[in-house]
Amino acid sequence: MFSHNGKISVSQVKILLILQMFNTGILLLPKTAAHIVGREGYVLPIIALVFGVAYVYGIVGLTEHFKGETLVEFTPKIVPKGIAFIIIWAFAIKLIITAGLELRMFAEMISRVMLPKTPLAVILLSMLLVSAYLVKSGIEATARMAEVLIYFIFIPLIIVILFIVFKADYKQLMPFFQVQPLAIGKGAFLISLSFMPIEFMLMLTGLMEKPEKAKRATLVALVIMSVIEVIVILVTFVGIGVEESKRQLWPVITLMQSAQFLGAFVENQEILMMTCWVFSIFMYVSSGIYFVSLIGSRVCQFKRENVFVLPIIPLLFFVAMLPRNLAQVYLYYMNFQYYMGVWFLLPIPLILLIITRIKKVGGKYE
Amino acid sequence: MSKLNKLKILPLVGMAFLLTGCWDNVELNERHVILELAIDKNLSFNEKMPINKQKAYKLTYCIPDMKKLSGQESLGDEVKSNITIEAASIAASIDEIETKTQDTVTFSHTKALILGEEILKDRKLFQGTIETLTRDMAISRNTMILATHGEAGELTKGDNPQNPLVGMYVMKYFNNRERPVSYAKGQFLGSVIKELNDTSITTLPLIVKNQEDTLQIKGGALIKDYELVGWLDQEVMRGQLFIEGKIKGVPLVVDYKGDNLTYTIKDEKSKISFDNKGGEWKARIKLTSVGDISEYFTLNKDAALSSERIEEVKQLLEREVKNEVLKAIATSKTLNVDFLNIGLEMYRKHPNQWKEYQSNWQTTGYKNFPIEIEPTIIIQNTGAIQ
Amino acid sequence: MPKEATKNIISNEDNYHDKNNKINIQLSKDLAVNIQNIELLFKNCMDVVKRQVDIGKDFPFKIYGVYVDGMINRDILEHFFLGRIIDYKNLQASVEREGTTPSQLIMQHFSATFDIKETDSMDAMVNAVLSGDSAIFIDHSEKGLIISNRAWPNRGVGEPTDENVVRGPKDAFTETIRFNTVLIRRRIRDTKLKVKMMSYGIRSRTDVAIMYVEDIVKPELLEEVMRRLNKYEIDAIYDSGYIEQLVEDSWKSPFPQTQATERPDKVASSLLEGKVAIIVDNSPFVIVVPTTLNAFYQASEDYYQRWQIMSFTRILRYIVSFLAFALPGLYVALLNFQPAMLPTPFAISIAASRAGITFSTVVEILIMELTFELFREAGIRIPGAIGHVIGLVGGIVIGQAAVDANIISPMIIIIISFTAICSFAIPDYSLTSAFRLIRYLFIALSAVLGLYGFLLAMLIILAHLSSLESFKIPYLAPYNIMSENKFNDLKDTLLRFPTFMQTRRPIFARENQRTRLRLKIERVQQDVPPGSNSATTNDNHAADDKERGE
Repeated sequence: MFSHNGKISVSQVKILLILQMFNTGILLLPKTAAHIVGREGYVLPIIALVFGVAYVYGIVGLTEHFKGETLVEFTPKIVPKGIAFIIIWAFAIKLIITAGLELRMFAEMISRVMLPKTPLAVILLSMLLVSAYLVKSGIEATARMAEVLIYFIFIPLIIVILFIVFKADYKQLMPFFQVQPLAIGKGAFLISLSFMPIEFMLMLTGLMEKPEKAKRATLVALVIMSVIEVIVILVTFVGIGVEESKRQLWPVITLMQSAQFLGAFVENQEILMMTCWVFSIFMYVSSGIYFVSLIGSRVCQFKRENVFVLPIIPLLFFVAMLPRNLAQVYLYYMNFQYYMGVWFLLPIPLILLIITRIKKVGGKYE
Repeated sequence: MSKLNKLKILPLVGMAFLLTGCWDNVELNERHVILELAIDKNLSFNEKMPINKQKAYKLTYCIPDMKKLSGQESLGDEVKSNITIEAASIAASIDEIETKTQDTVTFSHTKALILGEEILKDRKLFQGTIETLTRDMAISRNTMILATHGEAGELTKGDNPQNPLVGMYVMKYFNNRERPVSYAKGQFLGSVIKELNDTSITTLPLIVKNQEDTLQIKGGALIKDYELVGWLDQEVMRGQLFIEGKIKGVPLVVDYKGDNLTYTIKDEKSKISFDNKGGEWKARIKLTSVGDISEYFTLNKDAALSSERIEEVKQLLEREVKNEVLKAIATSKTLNVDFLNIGLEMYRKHPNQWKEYQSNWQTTGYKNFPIEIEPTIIIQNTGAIQ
Repeated sequence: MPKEATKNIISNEDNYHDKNNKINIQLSKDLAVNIQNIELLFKNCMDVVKRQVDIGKDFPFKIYGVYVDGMINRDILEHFFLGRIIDYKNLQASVEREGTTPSQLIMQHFSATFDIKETDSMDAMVNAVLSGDSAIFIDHSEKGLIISNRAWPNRGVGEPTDENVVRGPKDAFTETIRFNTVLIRRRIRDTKLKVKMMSYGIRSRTDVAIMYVEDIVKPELLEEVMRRLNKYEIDAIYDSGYIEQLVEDSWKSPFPQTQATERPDKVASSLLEGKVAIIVDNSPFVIVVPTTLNAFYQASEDYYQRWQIMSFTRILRYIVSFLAFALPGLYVALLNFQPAMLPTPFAISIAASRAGITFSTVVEILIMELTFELFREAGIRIPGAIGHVIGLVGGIVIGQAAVDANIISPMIIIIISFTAICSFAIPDYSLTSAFRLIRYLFIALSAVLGLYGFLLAMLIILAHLSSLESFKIPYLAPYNIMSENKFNDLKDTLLRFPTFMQTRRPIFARENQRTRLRLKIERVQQDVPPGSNSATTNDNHAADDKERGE
């Protein structure tokens, strides 16, 4: 049961997905929400769930037909090899770009809050190397790591949120129900892009012990994540105010800075809270590296999964160093998420699913 | 490459890393920890210079001597040294000050920002200050922000018999939970930013030096649209605190049948509601105070505090509270600045109604808006004697 | 098996030994040949006593005895063996009449010792002699006798030196393998407790016993243990530490992947959890596999005292073990990179105490760390009686002088001594050693990247621990496989649940053998065959648990 079979359990999938969704995007979330619908931004994640569920049905619906197979194996069965090849590599490139930009955002944040004079390259590279160290040990180690990290990430977060909750200014949220439905729709879609790591399921289902439970696991992760997002947005709004959430680049960090622990033995706990993000970005980046290297080794039909780990690092590093400044990273990040993010969440899995149904390839038809 | 060779290279890389690294490594004792920062307007700057050369800010940095501060012997003479810098911007002043100090400065433990009167009066400079403090995360949003009459720099330079460092004084003053909240409302940088964003009205607690040459924190500076509107005295501040429901540990003294009776408010809550009975909207502020009778002495043998008498005392106290709060409301209406946040409260509770008032709230709306006070006093305890 | 190893050991081959150092001469029917062989094999071995004795008055019958002087109990050999048969009248006649071989006759009729056996291998005879038994060669017989009468000098069963308890048994393993198996056997009187013996080391022929409870241990684990034990050939082993390093999963890891203990109660409880114990002769430390990080935090005493205090102690151990490797790094990170996190009064007092110090914080920390390591190392070498004094004086004098001389700040002394004390609060010494080592990783990364570096170090360690396995059990179990075994393994982790709640064995045990405690009430009526109390599956275990819990 615990042997090196490269399979992960259902609960590990849930935890992996939650941690991957809990990335830098969360730090920007209140800003996005405040910009689009203002004070009532906290309803967005709930509505975004509708989109999320659609993504899950698309992706897991597709993978359900191919038990124990990843995108690399099943795509060639559905579409001609050439197109399959393009899809697979597009996915890999997309993963590299998102992970790279995510990493850059993260490095900028670290640089701002913790290490103003340290070169970005050092922050980036050190993170990449540590991620690579984990990835080298395979998906099982990654999943186990996630199970441990989740405590390191959420326990401090919950404590800080509790502190804020008791001293918060709840009147910030009033008046209620003052919002345009159209804005909510647009906002919900944007927020739903924060569920982007669901697309990892295209690969992850193939590595599950019980792939038949993939849909449930993903949905559970999705619901938990949207609840977390609601809490984060709410707490940010009541903590620093809606207007300030709009203005600040990283409202959540500002929130952490505003929180005051009386009698605590740390001051300026925003630095302490960086722990959460260092850990969750680590999970995101290592998943990115892992899946790209998995795609690589599966396409080349190598037995060892970690052959491509080291070559990916310079690639990621290059992507991360590409934008010239923070404003540009932000722009790239938002644009990339907006225009490219959705492709592997809905359209591509859906098209593949339809073709699968028509051609009746793969197993399991209800 | 064989495994062993790879392993040999790793420590080398690590060593190089260690030797060239440490970009942000500064020893704690090689930093000047700025505990308080006084920001003033430089009244003598040359307005004919180009804007980036105008040294409009005058900042006073207070550099404490750590050894002296913790009661040890030190090379320096004074426990603090104040350095005043005139600069075009706050960031530029840091560059300037580091030419005058032995170590670099850090704002990691800045406890108090003290703003002088002149800068509060200058909308552009004051807004610039707040923006800078928001943009640069060096100064924590939990820093206390205070206003003072005259020049802030003078206040921080002066001696204070209790604690020479105003920053420490302020930190200890506001961190003490036992202290009654009655004459000044402590403001964090973060809360000021929030209030300015929400209503563009805020108050800053006032720190002054009194006749005995000690520091005193009472009253406040009323800011509207990043500009000083006026000074609020301690009674008005208390009225504001009553309306915000933040009063704690405050004694109320009333004349009860010719004798002094002191009632101490332990806790206070307020609730603002709006109704339009009789076609006219008005605000109704319910204030509920819980407290004890802490001092009462009478020569009248029959005047023991029976329950009927307590009822009488209650009414007296309620009248007293009402008067105090009405004083604050009167001041705010005279100044025509809604620092009691009645408008914000209305927007939050009756957003549709607010649309009617929104346009003229600043001019006439607030001035003519009726506000009713409904105080309730709960006497929990009369002390050990009846 | 690595090639070099084979090559070196081939040199063992000579006229009498094969390449595995086994004696390849056969026992001969002619006593004279045997005597000649023995004389040759034990040439220049002055500690070996060899003697030929005539037995029987009428018809002398020769036997030849060999033993190592000082390793045997001569009483047994002389009174109960030799004394009984030396005067026997006609052995030859008896043999003919009874139709048995002389060795069988001696064994079955004359010898007054129980532990005597027949063998036909010269190798076994010689090995027996070297192990402290007596070998008897008999004239006209192809078989020899081995009388088990080992009695070498030993220090008896003493008290544990490293794993002391206030409450609980105070016996500890000793260097004699037989005593050690006895100590365990006395705790588990179950026929299913099996002891497999093997010898390890081509020259040392050290006895190694593998103990397990047959129906609880997972067969694949036992197989894996045997496979790994047979993976290498080594010339000699002197301690269980050799076995530990030869069977572990990852040689790169600083973390111990097997648990070495000197407490028989710990081993016994581990065996009943489905683990396997490896006992090595001449070593008072018994190895238990597989192990998890959590197992190192479980001291025997945890189970003998009240659960509240022991749960508190557990949590304390986890916290201090974190401090044991993290504190110096954290100090560097906070002081030099993120002073904003320190409370103001604290920051002021540290800054004041550091003013005028020559070295940077990192250098200070390293100096003090290394000095402390020096004290530790020297402390072992300094003769016992003055050891404490030297340690104390050295520590205090050097520490005080260094502070007075402004070489290091007083805070560093506090940090380092506190760290050192923390590291000794962990019940397992080898884990402490691992923490001592990774402390430097934390210091190095914190010195370069501050708190971020510290977090990276945390990630490296966590990633390492996550990928580590001990005999296919994840090292961080049960923390990272919580849902396994219905969350039951968590009852013995950070909190030590009350004993009656610890109803199930952890994941090491077979799945159908997970119940270890249940209510007796309803079982009294049932006719339960002996020994099956643990063999039945646990259908009503949940119900029992609930009932008891209320």
